Amino acid sequence: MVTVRLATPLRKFSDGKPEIKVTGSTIREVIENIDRAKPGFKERVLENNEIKQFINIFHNNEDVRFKQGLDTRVEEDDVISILPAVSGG
Amino acid sequence: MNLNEIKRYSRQLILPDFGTKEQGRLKRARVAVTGAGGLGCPISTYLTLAGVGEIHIIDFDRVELSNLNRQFLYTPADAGRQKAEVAAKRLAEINPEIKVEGITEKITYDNAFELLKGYDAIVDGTDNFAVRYAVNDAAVVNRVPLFHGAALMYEGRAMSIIPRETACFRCVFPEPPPAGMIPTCREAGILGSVVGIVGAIQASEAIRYLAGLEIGLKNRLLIINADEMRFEKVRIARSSDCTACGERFVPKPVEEVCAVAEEVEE
Repeated sequence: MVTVRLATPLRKFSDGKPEIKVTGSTIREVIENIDRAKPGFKERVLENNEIKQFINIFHNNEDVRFKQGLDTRVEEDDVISILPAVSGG
Repeated sequence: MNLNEIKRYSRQLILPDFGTKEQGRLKRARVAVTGAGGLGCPISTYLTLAGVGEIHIIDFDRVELSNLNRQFLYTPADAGRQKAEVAAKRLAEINPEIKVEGITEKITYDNAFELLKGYDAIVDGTDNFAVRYAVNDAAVVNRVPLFHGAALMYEGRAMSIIPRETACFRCVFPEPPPAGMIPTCREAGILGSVVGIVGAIQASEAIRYLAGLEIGLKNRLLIINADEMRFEKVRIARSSDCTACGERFVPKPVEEVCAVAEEVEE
């Protein structure tokens, strides 16, 4: 299981919790598994199978855009953070 | 430095890496604070207290009672008055050794590049994507270091942008959430102390940078979850495809929409 941390605007997919445990061996699988439990998640985060432009995904604190993107492999106890841009001030 | 200044800044002058040379750099600095709201109040207050020589506070809004849970430079008697003016006056009272100017102007993609020229730093406390991308692009094109911060509910973000050296806001989030996806425009809520944390972090970064000291949020995005009081720093990097700081600048105005990302609206 990997830990997925969801930024505030996405927490309706985790029943308000800041993090959830999910199975999967790539970022893509993890997103699909969350979507299976909470339909609509994938659509919220991906567009044409790419990470949306206003969303960023970090794998163990590294931006996955500079790794293998959605195909980045994840292992037991890894931490994935999914962050949409926020603009409040 | 005069005697008043030596007394006023004595507690920071005794810091091991901070002395009269660093204080002098702050005094000579000219800084723009974009937004005089929840972030703008702590940002501008700490820059004022630290002795940044010239501070311009840019905001077009007027004070409302609903600002007062977080915007501590205003009192109920200020309701209806221009924030930039009220904030500048109060800050000048707090530190008469510096120059504070209020600029009542709405920042747009059209005027940002001219408005935000010639500063030693910009500290961004605006509250919507349209202005944030305008400020980012203007800072990067004008090569003015930008100290970014944002907040939503109990979550805060901060990053320090040194143009052409470190990732800019657009490198991390190339586009804002699309306007059409936002069904209504209403606030998701914010606690004053949370914007206080974020604004204080932005000010700390700006002050250390202006003083010539090392800073901690270059190529790093700090994510603060004040509900768990968890602070995380993630690694970010410049993107060669970035339309603001990449190989070629491409102007990309962002349509003005609500301050709240679409996900909050449900």
